[in-house]
Amino acid sequence: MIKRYGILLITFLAFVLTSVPQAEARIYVDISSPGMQQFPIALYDFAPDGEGKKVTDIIRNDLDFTGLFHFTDPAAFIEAKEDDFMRSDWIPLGVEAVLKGVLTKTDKLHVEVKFYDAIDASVIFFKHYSADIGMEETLAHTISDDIYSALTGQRGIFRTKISFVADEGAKKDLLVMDYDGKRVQRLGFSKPLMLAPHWAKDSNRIVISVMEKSVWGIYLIDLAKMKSDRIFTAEGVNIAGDFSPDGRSFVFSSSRNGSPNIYIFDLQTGLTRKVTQSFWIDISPSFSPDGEEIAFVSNKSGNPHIYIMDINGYNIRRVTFEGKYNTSPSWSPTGEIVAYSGMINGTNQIFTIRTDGSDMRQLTFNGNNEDPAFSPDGRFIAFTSDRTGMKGVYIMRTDGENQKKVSPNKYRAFGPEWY
Amino acid sequence: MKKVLLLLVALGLLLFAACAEKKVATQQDEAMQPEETTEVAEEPITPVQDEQVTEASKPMDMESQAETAADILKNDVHFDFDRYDIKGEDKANLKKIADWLIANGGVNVMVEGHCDERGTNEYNLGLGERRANAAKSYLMTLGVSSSRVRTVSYGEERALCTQSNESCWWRNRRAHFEVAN
Repeated sequence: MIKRYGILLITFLAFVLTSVPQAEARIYVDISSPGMQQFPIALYDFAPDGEGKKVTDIIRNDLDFTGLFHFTDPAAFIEAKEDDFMRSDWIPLGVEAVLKGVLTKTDKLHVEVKFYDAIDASVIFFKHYSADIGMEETLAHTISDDIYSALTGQRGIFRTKISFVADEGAKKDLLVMDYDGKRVQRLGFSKPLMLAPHWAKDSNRIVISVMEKSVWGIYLIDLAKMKSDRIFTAEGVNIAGDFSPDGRSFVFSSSRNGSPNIYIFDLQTGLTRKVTQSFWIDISPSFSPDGEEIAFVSNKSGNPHIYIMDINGYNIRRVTFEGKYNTSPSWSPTGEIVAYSGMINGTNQIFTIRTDGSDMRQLTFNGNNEDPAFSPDGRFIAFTSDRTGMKGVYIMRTDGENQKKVSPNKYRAFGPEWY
Repeated sequence: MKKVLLLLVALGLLLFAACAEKKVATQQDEAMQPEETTEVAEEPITPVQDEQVTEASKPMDMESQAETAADILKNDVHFDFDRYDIKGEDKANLKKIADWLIANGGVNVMVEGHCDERGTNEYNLGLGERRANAAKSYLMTLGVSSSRVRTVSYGEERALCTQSNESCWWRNRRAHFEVAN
């Protein structure tokens, strides 16, 4: 009887807790704190095999990649999954949170997750999930996002996607995959020669540079309307950059007046506005997250370097001073750093630098590493690497830890964009 | 561009084939005259003969012109890493191309700018364009009209050579010429 009351009480608590506004939620893992210890979690498999095992493995993999958590070896667990949660079973193991989930399969997949705070024996959350059969990845990533945001107070990135370009010799193909490289899909946009796309924040629109008949043009692809239009072309090199944060314009580089300069294309009016006016190569523009500044590459010093300017083209300042070849800037969504590709000892490596030019950090060391692109939360970077001999898309944490290849080996993949 | 050349040659062949057919028709007309019956018997009109004729005369002019263009334009202009200035060693080659273009007023050229793969994609597109423009400007200083020279940048996208060594990179850092019409 006591146990039953206990369960009822917990259930009740869960309802109460889920109705509490997020702002009051406790932060278990402060992701802004440097040198923080990994947070110890006990995670039971949702089932010994089948979908339950698969879902648990994906969750473990998701959380593991963040580097914020440590999973206690299940062999050490004192409590069986069916047993009621007892704080005293976990304190000796040093576990701070316990996740018990059960997956059942009817015409759908159902998961019931109970997530306990092992320190004060409270319930962090108690949720029921259901998903169509075959949707194990979406189900698992959704649970991972809930665990992540319950512990950190931040939005998780486990349901985000990465697009990339596959080089298939005679043509290039635009593909998207889950952030972990699973579920690769073609977008149905394929051209003999094209560059990496840029995504609007709504995840429905893409601008992409394509060469046709010896001219570079910019396409706008609208995935919601299932259509693509070439919206800008001119003699010379025309290369799309980022969408503005409000999605109403995008920045690009065009040599239509002889030399590559930075322009802004207003998608409402179809008009372009010139931002830089130089005789140098000004290329690869990237918006700051507030839309007030643009990072770009210019060779005005004699070599390509990263520069930042105000959106009106004024106040141009140089960011990189080391090396002789710094290109491909990508502005972090959190604003304070820019990632770029810098040449060192004849190879390209990914670096980050603060926007004031301080605190330069080299993140990669093997092979050539190019095309850095931040995750939407700014905590991870996708990039292209040829470290195994063939180009592929990799992801890592913004501090350079946990580098791993995510694009399937069968693709010669480059130009990742994380959205 | 090679395709365009092939098309031109093919078109030439077709034109000539049409001419040859006309000739054949004339011969047949002549054959209608009773006194020349035997001659016709000696000259059976067969596809083989057509082909022999085709390979022999007029199309050769087309081919030789095409060969000349290919021969003149075969040498690329090369550049140092991250540079787009024309080097002394390439000036004779550019002079030869300019002279030929001036002598062959009906031919336009496309200059392709290319880079080695050590740089990064987008910047290399800017650099490749600079290389193509540098070659174009040099031809213009030698008297070639600007309207006859188009440029395009492929960046690092069309490497001639895929090994990672300086001789290969040098081959890839080029301005390349093709006939354009």
